[in-house]
Amino acid sequence: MRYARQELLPDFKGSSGLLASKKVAVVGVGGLGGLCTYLLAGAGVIKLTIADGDCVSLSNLHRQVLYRMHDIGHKKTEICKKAILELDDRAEVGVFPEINSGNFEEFAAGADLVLDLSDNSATRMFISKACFARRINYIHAAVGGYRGILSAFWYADPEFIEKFGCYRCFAGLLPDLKPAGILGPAASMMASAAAMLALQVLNGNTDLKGYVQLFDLKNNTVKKLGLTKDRSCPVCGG
Amino acid sequence: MKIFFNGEELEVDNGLSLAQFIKDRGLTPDGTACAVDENIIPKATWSDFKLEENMHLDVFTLVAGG
Repeated sequence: MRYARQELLPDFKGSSGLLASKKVAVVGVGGLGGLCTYLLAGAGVIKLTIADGDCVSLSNLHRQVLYRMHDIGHKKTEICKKAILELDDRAEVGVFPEINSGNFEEFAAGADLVLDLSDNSATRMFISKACFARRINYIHAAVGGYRGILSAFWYADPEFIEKFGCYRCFAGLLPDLKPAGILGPAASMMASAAAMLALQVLNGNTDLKGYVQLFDLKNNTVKKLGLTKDRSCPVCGG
Repeated sequence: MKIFFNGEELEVDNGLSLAQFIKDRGLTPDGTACAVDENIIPKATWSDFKLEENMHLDVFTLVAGG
């Protein structure tokens, strides 16, 4: 009954068992990750691992929809976990602080998919590289201003790597990008788009395989651009 | 020759490289991505990539916010 409306979609008919069997690890539970994780849990992805070192602050509340005034000062991961368990008490939610080389192995253990929804360049480069090294499928979503970028990197598929490469092939060397202004709806739009892509990847839909999506969040347009392997990439070996 | 840069028609010199075009626009390669005719062009190849008549370029700044 819980998924009756979801399973009216032909491609999601009978998908609840599959989604419940998948494990997803999410880096960052702020503007993107908080809502995205909640949407995934709602769709039946109930084996989740979440990571974030931050506590809720007043300046988060305009865009980070899981959090309330009384959560200020509390760890985002704990509030997010509580919200997920209130939504579905069958959920198993692992909680980690900031992810680094010392705890990534444990964080990503058994994960079918890692979503990088973190808020800085260094973390993004590290997470992609770590996922590539372990051949774990990886979704990158980022937002700033009215721009959103979203792509799945199917690192578990050798043919994908051969043809489309990795996140480093796409982004090159990513400098430390300054925080951009952002409206709440822009963050929520990208959180929803990331959850949608994650559900498609978990459900075996390959329509967006090999593409990065470029969102114009002001004019509501999305451009699909083909990914291209960099034959000299220092991460995926050229 | 005529090219399209983020939807806008532009006249550029024949044989101009993508790297030079990016530089001429005052953009920094790090933190910038570029697609030509809807395919991403890896940064390492920008110097060797020659623009051709009627190519459509999408050049955009990368974002890292979550």
